[in-house]
Amino acid sequence: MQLVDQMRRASRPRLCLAVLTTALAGCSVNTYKPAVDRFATATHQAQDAYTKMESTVLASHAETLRQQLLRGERRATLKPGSCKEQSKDCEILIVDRKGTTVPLHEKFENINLLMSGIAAYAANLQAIATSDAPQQVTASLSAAAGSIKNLDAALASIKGSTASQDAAVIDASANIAGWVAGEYVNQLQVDALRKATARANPVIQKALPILQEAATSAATTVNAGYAEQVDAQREAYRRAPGDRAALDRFEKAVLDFDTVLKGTSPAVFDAMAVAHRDLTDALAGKNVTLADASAAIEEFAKKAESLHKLVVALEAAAKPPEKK
Amino acid sequence: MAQDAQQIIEIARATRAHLSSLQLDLEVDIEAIEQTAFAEDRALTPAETTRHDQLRAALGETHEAFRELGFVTLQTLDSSTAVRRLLADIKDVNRQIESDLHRLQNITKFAQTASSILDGLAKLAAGLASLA
Repeated sequence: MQLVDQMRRASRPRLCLAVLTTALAGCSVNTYKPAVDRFATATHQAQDAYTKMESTVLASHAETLRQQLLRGERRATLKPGSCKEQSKDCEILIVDRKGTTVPLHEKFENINLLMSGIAAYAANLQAIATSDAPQQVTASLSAAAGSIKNLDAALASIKGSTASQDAAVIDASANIAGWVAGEYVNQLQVDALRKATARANPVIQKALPILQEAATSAATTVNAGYAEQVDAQREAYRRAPGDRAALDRFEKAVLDFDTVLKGTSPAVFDAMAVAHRDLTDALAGKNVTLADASAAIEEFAKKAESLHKLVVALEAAAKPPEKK
Repeated sequence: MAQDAQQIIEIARATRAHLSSLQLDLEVDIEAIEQTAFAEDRALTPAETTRHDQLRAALGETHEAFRELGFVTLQTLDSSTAVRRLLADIKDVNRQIESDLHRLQNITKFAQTASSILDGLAKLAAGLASLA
């Protein structure tokens, strides 16, 4: 009986270590890295695409105001106190006959800041997932093992004896300690991802209708320029049905608009919200597997990529067609 | 979602639907004038041309209205309480993640410091041993 107790006591630390290491090894941050990485890249692309679309809205609005100025419906003046030697800024104001003023160059700061905040959040998630803290801690402990051996040897030399510790034992202890510490840090990373996604998810779900509406509003403004171009080319062709060039221009305007309509769908933000919800649930061990979350993220990434590609191409092709 | 943002979105959706429906009506009328003349293999009569021009001008105004609606919707959403609140929430989320990131960095620094101290001690002891 005494022997059995001794065996139990002796095996207890090993059992604890086994339980601890099994628990720690269960959820590696490496598993989530690709999904978090892809989510962050896609979010950044969606944000960039939105910002570019919003610039079109602002440029288009400024152009409408300029047209009103040229037609004499409004007049341009300076913002009071601006454009002087001691002023902080210099800005044109547009005034209508009732005296209502609007700036010529408007900005939508809050929606942009919200988008940037979500992109920054995704980048922060990425920083947690890709942090090499576990490897660094393991490497530091391994380096410490070398120092301990050197220290032991030096102390032994001072005392005039041989080293007190077996080098192999020090290495083995350091390896175990390094592995456990590395796994502990890994667990901290996974916990940080869990907490962050759980905190951010309600915010992202609440932001979804607003982001969708903002994207829809921006997209309809971009579309308006193309719709006008199609109308103009349709009419030019109607007036000269035998003119091959007119037919080609009409066809091209239609094809261009079709590409834009199919590429600027605001569904990208819907996909972002679904992807984030699935990632949150997968991290929390709810009913969503990591594979499902990765598939939703991939869907979002594809939409974000194609929207970004299209918006960049539109920008490069220089603005929506001129109004006729 | 706060009430004000919900209202802005509903108004924008309803206005877009109204404008789209108006565009469809205008297009049907334009198409009817053009098809009638084409079926009879003739040009538009002066009356048809006037009507056609009026309808096209109205269609042009709907494009302008879509532009203006997009701008006004973004402007009102941008200044809505809901967007400001979400902005504060996401900032708060980011503050907490940054604090977790600092924690990870601090652990790494601590392990590196401990390793450096041991290394320093080993070197010091080695120096003492060479003196002994």
